[in-house]
Amino acid sequence: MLIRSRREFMKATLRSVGAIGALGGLAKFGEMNALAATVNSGYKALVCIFLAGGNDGHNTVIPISVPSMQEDYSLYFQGRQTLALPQASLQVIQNGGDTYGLHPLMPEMAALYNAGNAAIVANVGTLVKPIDRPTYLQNNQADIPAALYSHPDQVNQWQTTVPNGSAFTGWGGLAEDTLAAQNAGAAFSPITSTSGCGLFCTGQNTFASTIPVNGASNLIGATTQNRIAAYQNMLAFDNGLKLVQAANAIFNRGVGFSQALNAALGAAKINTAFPVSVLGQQLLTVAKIISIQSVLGINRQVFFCQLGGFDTHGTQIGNQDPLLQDLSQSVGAFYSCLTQELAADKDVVTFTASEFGRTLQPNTDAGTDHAWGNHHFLIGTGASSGGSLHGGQFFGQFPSLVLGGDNDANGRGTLIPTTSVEQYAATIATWFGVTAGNLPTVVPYIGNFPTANLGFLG
Amino acid sequence: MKIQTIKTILLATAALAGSLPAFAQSLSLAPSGYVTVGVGGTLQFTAAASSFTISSIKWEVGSVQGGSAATGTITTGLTGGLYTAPATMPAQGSETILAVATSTSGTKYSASVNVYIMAPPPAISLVSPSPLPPGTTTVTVTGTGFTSSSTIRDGGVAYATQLTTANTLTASVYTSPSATSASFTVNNSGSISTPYVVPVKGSSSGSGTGGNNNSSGSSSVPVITTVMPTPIPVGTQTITIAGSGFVTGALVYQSFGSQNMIQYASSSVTAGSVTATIYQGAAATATFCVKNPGSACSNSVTVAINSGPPPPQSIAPASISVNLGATQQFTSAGATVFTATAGSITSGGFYTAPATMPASGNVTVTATGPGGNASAAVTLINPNPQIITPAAVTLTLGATQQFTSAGGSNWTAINGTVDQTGFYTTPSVWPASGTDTVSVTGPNGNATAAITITPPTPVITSVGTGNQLPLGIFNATVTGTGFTAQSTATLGTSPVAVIYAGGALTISGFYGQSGPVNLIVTNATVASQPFSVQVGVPNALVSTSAARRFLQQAGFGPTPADAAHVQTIGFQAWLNEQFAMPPVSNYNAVVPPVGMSAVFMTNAVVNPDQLRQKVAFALSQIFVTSLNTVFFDNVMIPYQQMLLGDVFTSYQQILTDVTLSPCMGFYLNMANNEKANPALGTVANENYGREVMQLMSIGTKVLNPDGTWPVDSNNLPLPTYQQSDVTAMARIFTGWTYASSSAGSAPIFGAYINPDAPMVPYGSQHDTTAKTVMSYSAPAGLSITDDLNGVLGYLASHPNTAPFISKQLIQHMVKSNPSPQYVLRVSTAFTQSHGDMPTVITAILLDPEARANDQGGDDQPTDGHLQEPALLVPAVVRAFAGQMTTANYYPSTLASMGQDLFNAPSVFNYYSPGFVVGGTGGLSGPEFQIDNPNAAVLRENFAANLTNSYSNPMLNNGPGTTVDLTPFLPLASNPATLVNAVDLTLTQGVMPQGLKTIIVNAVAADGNSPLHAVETAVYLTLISSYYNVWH
Repeated sequence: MLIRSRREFMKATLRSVGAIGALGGLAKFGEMNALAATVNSGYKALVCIFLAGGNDGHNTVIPISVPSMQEDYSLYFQGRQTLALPQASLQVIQNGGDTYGLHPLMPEMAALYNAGNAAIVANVGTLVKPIDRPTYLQNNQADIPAALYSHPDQVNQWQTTVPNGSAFTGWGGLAEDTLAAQNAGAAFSPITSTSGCGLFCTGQNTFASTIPVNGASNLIGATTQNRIAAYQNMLAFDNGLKLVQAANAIFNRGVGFSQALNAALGAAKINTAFPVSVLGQQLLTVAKIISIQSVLGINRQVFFCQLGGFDTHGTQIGNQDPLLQDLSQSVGAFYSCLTQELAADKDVVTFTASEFGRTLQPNTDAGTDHAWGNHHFLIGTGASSGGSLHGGQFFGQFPSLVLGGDNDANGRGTLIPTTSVEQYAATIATWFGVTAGNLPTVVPYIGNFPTANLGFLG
Repeated sequence: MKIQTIKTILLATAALAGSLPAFAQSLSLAPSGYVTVGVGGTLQFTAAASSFTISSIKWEVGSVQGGSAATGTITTGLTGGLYTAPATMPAQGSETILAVATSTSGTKYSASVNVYIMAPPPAISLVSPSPLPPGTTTVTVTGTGFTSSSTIRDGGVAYATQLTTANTLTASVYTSPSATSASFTVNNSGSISTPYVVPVKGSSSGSGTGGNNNSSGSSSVPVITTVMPTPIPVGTQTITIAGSGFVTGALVYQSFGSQNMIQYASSSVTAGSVTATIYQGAAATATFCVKNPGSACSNSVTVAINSGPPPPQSIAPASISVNLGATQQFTSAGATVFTATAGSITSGGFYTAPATMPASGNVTVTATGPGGNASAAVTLINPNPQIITPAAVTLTLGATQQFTSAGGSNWTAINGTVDQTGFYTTPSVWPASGTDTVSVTGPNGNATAAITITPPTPVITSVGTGNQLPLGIFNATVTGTGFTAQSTATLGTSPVAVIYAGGALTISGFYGQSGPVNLIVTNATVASQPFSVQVGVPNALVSTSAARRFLQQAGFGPTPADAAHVQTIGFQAWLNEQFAMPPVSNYNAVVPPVGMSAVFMTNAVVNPDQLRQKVAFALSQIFVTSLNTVFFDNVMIPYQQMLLGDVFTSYQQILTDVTLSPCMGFYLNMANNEKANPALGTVANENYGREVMQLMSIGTKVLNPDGTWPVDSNNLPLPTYQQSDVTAMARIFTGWTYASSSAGSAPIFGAYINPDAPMVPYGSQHDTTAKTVMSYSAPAGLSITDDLNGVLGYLASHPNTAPFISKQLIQHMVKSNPSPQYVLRVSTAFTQSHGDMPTVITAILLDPEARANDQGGDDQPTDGHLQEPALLVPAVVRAFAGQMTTANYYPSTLASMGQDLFNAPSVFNYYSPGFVVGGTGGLSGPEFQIDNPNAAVLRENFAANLTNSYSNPMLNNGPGTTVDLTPFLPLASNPATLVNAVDLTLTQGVMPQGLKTIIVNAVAADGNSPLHAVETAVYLTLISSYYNVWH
């Protein structure tokens, strides 16, 4: 009940600030800040960075010399043609005896990897069950995720891990559902999105807060007792329409979240320099909220950030470059902040997701089209430094880049995943604290795969 | 999160800011809550002011000052009002007592209490015939408190009962021959009389007719159950003994020891009770029994005796008239002191009246004795008074009357004039009291005559202009004759505010239903003939609420003028007008820094081509392009203007124009999409080929015509197309480039965008090999244009397209969850008309399901769609007949709420048509996808920012927007009427009563300026989810 007592202390502090007035308040805020900077030892957080539009993984992780797969840069170049990145420009990383390169604008990510604080999961994607090329080509509905290559369907499948049918909850929200006892008494949502959120954030009982980078909005018109009483009564007024009730519930949450968060967030201060970029400012907001974790009383926290623009059907080089640069710089700053300022690097795991990869073969507009399997990053302090991440290595199987080869669904370098979203999610959820018994609730199709833990965490 | 928690945090937050919100001044009434009073009863109300001082107060019953005979009356006092309930039950069973207090600073506060008026229970005084003959008999029950729904019961049996007079009921009853008595009650709903027992003829206890009362031998022994009162006071006392089996002649006995019995005469006997007057000494207990004639003593009952304090002091006579100068003896047991307020009295109670009439003719004589004080009322009589003739008279205005009074002089009148001969002339203007008093002084004192002045009969000759009032808030002149400063008026059943000036009346208030309604002007008891006034549109084809709701669906919400127009011409004629109206809206006003979003909202607020704009906006969210990719307004503007121009053509025309538009060509890479280049290892770009199928025509799932989808044996939907179909589509869409921007020049493949002309074919870059897309086959060698038109025609007539497009248009215009039958009716119209847009739009808007809730109150649980921000902002301004210019501040507001207009995050729009809303059991709610908790608070911020003016009722939130609340200000003092007016403005006049009550209470407690009260009503309505979810 340490957290509870701290929250009680915060409440008392807030009251005394009001009593003492503005001058006395400064010292109290300083006290609060000192308290807030300590993250509980039992705390864990997940940060999902969703690369919306379908990141081209082929130009994110490039084989240079991969004896284990008997392929090298030339095979990549043969498929990529006009979109191939020059080998000399790549950020070189090693996976055992294999040499790869990251995109030239990802030096921060390469440094994290090389220090053992980042890992790569190769060729992961939506799957009903393990599938090979001959089975895929039989085109049986029941074997293949529904509406492959469709943006919204694949977004939903990544966020729910459910490859077909209808799912209205996602694995972030469901994981929090099972861990509700860890967050007992918290006034704030255990899931925070900085950029809207889809099904990933929605559980049966868990609903995300959305905190824009400039902070949560407060009510400004309910300034008198009569208005406050009226809006509260209106939130309870049921005229029988479900959508009216839903709007009431959302408004109610909005009011509660902003009131729970803003007083504390106003005092949060992060000194680490974050890029002034779409993702950088979101991760700065995440860092601020992590810094007041003990005030919020949440012990298992999920964050959702989103970087859009990856649907690079045309002029891919110019469009993807700044996005991957933002990803790399922002993740680098965030990890630095967690390590040096918040001392929470061992408690926080960051991972990427994206609805699909893209075709290896370019189209005539110097772009690439929708595909399937993709490579993803995990960032966290490595096991060699006392953390949980088995960094500095690849998990899953790096694919063959032969057009029409064993890993290609349609001759354009559309990767048939060899690792499923279900396994990716289950491994992360297990580290987060979801028990083996609850895993099928959080990741319903996990039983279709030979292992539920890919081993990159823990 | 629980509300309580929010409140706590609010307080904590406020405390942190160092500024606790001030508690409002308020008025309260006591008693409050569930207050009851019997018919004809009285109830004292007191008014208490919190944090202000009452300067004056007005008491109303049922909205009438002072009340009326029908509702009960209330006296007026600064802090209290005595309510006297009506003598008979009012129809509705309750009345509202309203106090309106004006503070010393001139602000008005009100408080009200509902009083429930309780009818007295019925009571039976007689049942005949008695005794009852066995078998079927018509009985007559006499008593009080009977109604037409009263029923006669015998024990548990209820009989069909007729009310024959106010005090008699009859019913045909059945009595068993074996019964000895029948116990009748009268039941009203909720109240029951005490039982009345009637013996049955021929039974052993029978009595009454037939003279066989005692002749058949000894009566049965009665039974006592209770003796009242308990304990019995010392002295003379009437007691009531309740029990059963008492018969006429029963006597009460009191037992003193084993042998001594005192017999008392019984003053009344019924089968269930006996009363007798007894004298009780100071014993500890008394024991009673009752004997019927000839019977033994009943069971004995012993009750305690209360020696108690001395009885209250009494005085006799308690009330008497005494002539001036005369005397009167008063007696009061043991009294030693007598006083009188006028005249003199001795210690023995001998009173002498004064010789001349004192200021008050009512004297109180008080005696003080062992039992306290006792008072007697003495009315002094002048045995020889000054007489005025006539003493009372009723006169009409302007009439004269001669009064006489022997020896009288110093004639005066209060309102009219009287000369010194007693000749009286009524005033020229009807006085507020409706009465006058003429006074005269003579040898025997003063005399007064009471004059009742008949008010003039009001005659209405005209109201406003052409005897018409606008719908909603009105302010109009009433001309006619007989109006006075005291005239009141009602419109329909509602009182309206009246100002009298120069012989005419100005009426103002609110009336929310269009149609003819009667105006009646009343001077006290004299009412004018009803005068028919037309409110709003004459002979309206659709109702007030229907027109407004229709315009929410067909446009950007109603303005009062547009709603009146729809009422005038009806739905179909309005649609025809809109179909025929050339485009008015465009984006010519986009000149930096004014962007498209500001112009969009200005168009929506101001321009009459509402349907065109609404449908074009819906289409722009199906055929999505975005500035985040095309970057420039001058690329987006021609695209949106093309949609505005195309909305009333056909779906295929729109699809074709979209496909060839340079904006879409740029956005989804169909422009300059060249055929595969084996040398470079490249193939045709799939972007447009995929999305035109997925989003703009057929969707990913095979659909039934009603929008539902079949499933396979694994319960999975069937895919509409495969990846190979996408690849083939990509090849069909090769070879198109931008038109040359210089006239007459040949296009150059790969040229930069010319946003102002459709794309043009460039045949050498077209893939001319054969293609197969689903069931469509294009043979090799088709021309680039034939290839394109062929596949677009195929998509336009694909069986998925009608339900896919129809359902989305319904979702944008009417509701998020249309029934499959509704979708089927629209998609059938789509199919049969080959996608003719006016046909489809008409089918959507005139469908019975779209129109089902036009009168309000018929909402279904699945109804409604959340207003997206781009609808919300224009609709609020339009509802108030507000104005908007391109300088409006709302583009960033929309962006922060997730709808950065024309800058959608992707081709998947701001939100998805299939988005399922959490907590609704799987209901769709596309717009909810951007209504995250923070965006919901931003809706509140929008409402608060618009309604935050301190003193100016012209709201603006920036220079481009104007909403004028001035017309609402006069209603601020009547919260219920104010909320009705806001309801008509924003929620079609059909807001549920429960929500109204919440807002009315908040307005009543506002305790601020009239403007703030109006802003509170508007603000609360705007932030209600009921308003935000249009339905």
